[in-house]
Amino acid sequence: MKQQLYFFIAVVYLSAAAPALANPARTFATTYVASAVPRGHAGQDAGVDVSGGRYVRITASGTISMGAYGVCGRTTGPDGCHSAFSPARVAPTAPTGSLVVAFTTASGALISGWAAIGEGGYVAVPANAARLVLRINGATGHEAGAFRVVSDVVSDVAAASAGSAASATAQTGGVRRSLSAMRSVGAASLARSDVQYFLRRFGFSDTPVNVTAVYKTGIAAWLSQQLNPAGIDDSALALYMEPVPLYGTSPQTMNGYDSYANILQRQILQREIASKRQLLEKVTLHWIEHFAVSQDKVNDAGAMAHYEATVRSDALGNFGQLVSDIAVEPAMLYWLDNNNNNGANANNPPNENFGRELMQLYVLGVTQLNIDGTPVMNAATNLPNQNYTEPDVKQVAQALTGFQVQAPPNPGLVNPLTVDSVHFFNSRHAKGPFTVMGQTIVDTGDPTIVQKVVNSLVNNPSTAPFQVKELLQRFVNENPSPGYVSRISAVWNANVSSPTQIATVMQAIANDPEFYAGKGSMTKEPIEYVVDAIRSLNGSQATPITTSMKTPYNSDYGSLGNMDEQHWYPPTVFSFYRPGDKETLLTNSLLLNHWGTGANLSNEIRTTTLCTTCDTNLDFTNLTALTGGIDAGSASRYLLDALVDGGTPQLQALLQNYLSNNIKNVNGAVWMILTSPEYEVN
Amino acid sequence: MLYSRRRFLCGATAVTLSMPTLMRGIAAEASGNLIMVTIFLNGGNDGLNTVIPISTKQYGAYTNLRQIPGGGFLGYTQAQISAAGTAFDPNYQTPASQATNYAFNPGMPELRALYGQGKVAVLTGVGLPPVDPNRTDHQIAQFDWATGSVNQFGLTNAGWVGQTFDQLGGGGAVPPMVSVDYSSPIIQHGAKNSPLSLGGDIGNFSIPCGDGGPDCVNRLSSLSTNDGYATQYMQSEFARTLAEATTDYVGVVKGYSTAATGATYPATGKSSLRNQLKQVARLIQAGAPVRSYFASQGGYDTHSSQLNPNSQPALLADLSGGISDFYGYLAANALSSNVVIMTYSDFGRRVQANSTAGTDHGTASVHFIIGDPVKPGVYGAYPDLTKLDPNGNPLISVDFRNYVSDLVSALGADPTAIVGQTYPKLGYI
Repeated sequence: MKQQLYFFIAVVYLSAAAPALANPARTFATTYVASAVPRGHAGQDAGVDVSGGRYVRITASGTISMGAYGVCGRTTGPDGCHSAFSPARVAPTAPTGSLVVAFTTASGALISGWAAIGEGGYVAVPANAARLVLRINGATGHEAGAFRVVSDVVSDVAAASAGSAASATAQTGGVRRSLSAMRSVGAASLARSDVQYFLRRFGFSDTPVNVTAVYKTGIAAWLSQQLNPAGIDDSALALYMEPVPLYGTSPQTMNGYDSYANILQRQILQREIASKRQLLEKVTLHWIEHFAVSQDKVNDAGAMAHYEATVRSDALGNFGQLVSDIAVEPAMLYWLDNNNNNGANANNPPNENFGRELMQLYVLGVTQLNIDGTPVMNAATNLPNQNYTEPDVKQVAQALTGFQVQAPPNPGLVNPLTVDSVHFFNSRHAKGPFTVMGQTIVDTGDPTIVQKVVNSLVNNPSTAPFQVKELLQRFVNENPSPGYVSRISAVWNANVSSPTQIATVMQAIANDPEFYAGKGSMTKEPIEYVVDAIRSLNGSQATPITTSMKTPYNSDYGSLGNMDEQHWYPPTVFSFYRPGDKETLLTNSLLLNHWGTGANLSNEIRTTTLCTTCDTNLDFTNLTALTGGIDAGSASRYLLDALVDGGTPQLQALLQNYLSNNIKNVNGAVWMILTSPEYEVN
Repeated sequence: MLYSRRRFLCGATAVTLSMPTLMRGIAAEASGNLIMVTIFLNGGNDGLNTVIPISTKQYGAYTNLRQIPGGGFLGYTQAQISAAGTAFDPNYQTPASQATNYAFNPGMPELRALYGQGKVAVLTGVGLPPVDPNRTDHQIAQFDWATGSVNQFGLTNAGWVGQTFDQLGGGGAVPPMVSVDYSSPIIQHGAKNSPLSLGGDIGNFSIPCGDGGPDCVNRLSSLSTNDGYATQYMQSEFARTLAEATTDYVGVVKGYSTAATGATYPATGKSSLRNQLKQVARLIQAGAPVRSYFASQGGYDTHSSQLNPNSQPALLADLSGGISDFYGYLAANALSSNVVIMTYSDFGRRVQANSTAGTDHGTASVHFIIGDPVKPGVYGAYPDLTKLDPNGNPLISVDFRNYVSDLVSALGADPTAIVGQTYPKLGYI
């Protein structure tokens, strides 16, 4: 019986300390071994080019067949290794059926022993090594395999001159890039793909036609417009926005169509898709995820809508103002229990929920940070210093007592955004002064205590790096360098009193030399997965809201639910994911729902006429004009350009082949792109 | 949702240098046969109203500290407790009518019944030690509990269950750890092992094919082995996960969910926890070689209106009934002998009620270990409510790492390397 053993794993061989090079260059290459490489067949070993490298790490995945005589790596199991639930995975440390590696010179002479593949970090490359060769370590000689080996070679920039980089690329099919080379991508010499990257980061992508337009006029002009959103005419959007049902109608519905809570969710999705103020919407999304509030607990769509409007109006403004404003929003008062919080009762202390999260999640974080975002370490304990203590939490909670949301008992038919009002009652307010992290906060027994507390927290040295790192994690790179955090934090601090602080910071982020090094570093979050696709594929509602189309983008909204990221329904105050940890939204169970979302989106493509009763149309009715002709080559080029900056050669070949078989199946082609790693990670 | 992470995409460029990349256990199946079902009570469960101290000495302090403005009482009266019949003593055989020490929340009669059958260990006074100054932040407390560490936030990212299976070796075709609440929780991430994440009803699984083509799964697999991604580290890691998801679902989940449908499992209604436990029962019944299951229940962060019927009382009732249904199903199918359930939560809550009829973040709490392998009784020392710390919190008597250590040992691994020191056995298992 022939048995298959699979490597579906990242394998790292040997181990060594992480390389510390001043200006490392890295070479990624792939060796695809499609034929048998049995033990002892000298000259047939699969190899990886490591010449000039200082450190190397490899990963391997694929299949090893053990032949008729093989033993598998599983020692137990209901029926040996031929499990009904194959594929089995074999231990790389097992002597049989595993990969072993050794360094050789250019002439093939071994300069190290054959080593089993283990785990760890990078390993140093011997000085005279040219190749790292791999074998299947079999016991019988019948072992054979096909596997893919990805190598990651780190070398000094100095060692990798332009000439050798070019030749290495030619030899391996890989790409050799140095960080310094990436940083040299200046505004003056942007490629079209740089514009696509930029529009994906600072907005929600755009159609190929609009990308080309920005490419011609330049990113600087686009950004300068976007930083002043009030100057952008967005009146067309209003025609398509669902009207808000009046408070007092029961239930809160629009002409019986749907509840306000549902309309609220669709409205923000509509803005992200159709607003011309793209940067404003992207920054707004950042803040509503940072200051996460859930309708599940607030249970007041008017309060949620008001919260959204406040966040949007401050989104590119001053951070301290933003925090002070949201602190007394009805939705926030409900969400973190600061509504009716009484500080005047000696027996029952105030609720600490908002006070704690204001410090921990909203403004400055748990750990003291240096300006570059690294933790301040305590020399004695070698542990990070903490920003605040339990008594500080209690003091902030005391200081922010006395607020209450009030709604008139019978307001009649009114706009629900205007129903709630927030009042301050000195009789329920704890008396100051308050001491927070060693600073005294004067209390004058009025609502200005909010600004005083917020100013004290905003001026904490940890605030700038804490906020800047999160911004960089959303807008550039999930792991921004300390230098990048440091440079932008300096801009943040220099503008801490400016009414356009956040806009200035956003501009600095885009103009930083490291901005374009963020390419390929980020997974899309589900909202981006949906909105980027709709915008890139010329999506729209077919008609303004007043006619037959009642619930714009409703099916897309359902998709967001399947992927665990619906606006206004974060599961906890930690939002949908922690900054830099977007992968919590990409568990393998949730990932499968992306494929369903891709299917749903691809079914919204219209190649002949738009659908007037559908909630979304991806308008491909003018495909011939868009693609320059309906043939497999031009159609696949267009789609790949729209969604994945052109895609890899492999995806290009796959798609062209697919469309050659059935040129009309644009839907299937789009689905294949939307389920590709190129679309998910970029 | 638990603060959790996948680690395969931790970073690009230089940050990957220190990143552990091996994601899935690949050694021979772990030895031993204990199956541990972890139930995470997300938000910080108020232990004081979960196991109420009814002894004369403690109950007076309890009633005083749980008064709320306007004459309310954030607690349970002796009449309520006696009507529910949930009182108990360290000797599990003492009938509720004669017990004088503790009471389960009146909404937990099922757990009281299991206790009487000798299936429950009650661990009191357990929590994070004061050396962690931020142990009352959710983020820090959840992280500490998940990793079995203190003061290591940002310095490590390996969970204690994951590390246990790093020692024991992973599974074969099936990973030794499964999460059934959609998440990929940090507690199950080791240096070499990570959990398979499931959600919903495992029998309803399908891969949506956007073009209806019969070979779409194969095509996705071919995409994921596309070597073009090698030039982009993140994309290649993502591709690997796509392949893993396909393999796990097609090859693993479908087989087990077909083998055991759970048709006779008690109705789960709208309860997420009950549905999660049902999926666990199905996988156990089908013989999945999984040793650790992770389930969770949210809503325990009861800063206000804690006694609202939809708040903590509903959660505890759901927990009690859900555990009872789960245990009963396994026992009826002769599957319970090697299954142990353990609960954990961020922290306990403040003893004194706050001004919004809720409780703020505290320290010590109470946890349950349930199943046939359990030695019944009460462990740890219930905090003395007349001796609180300067922040009004109860003092812990059992370091959470001691709690964790006994379970690591029971699973067959050495806890010392995982929690950093050796603890005496508590003896509940």
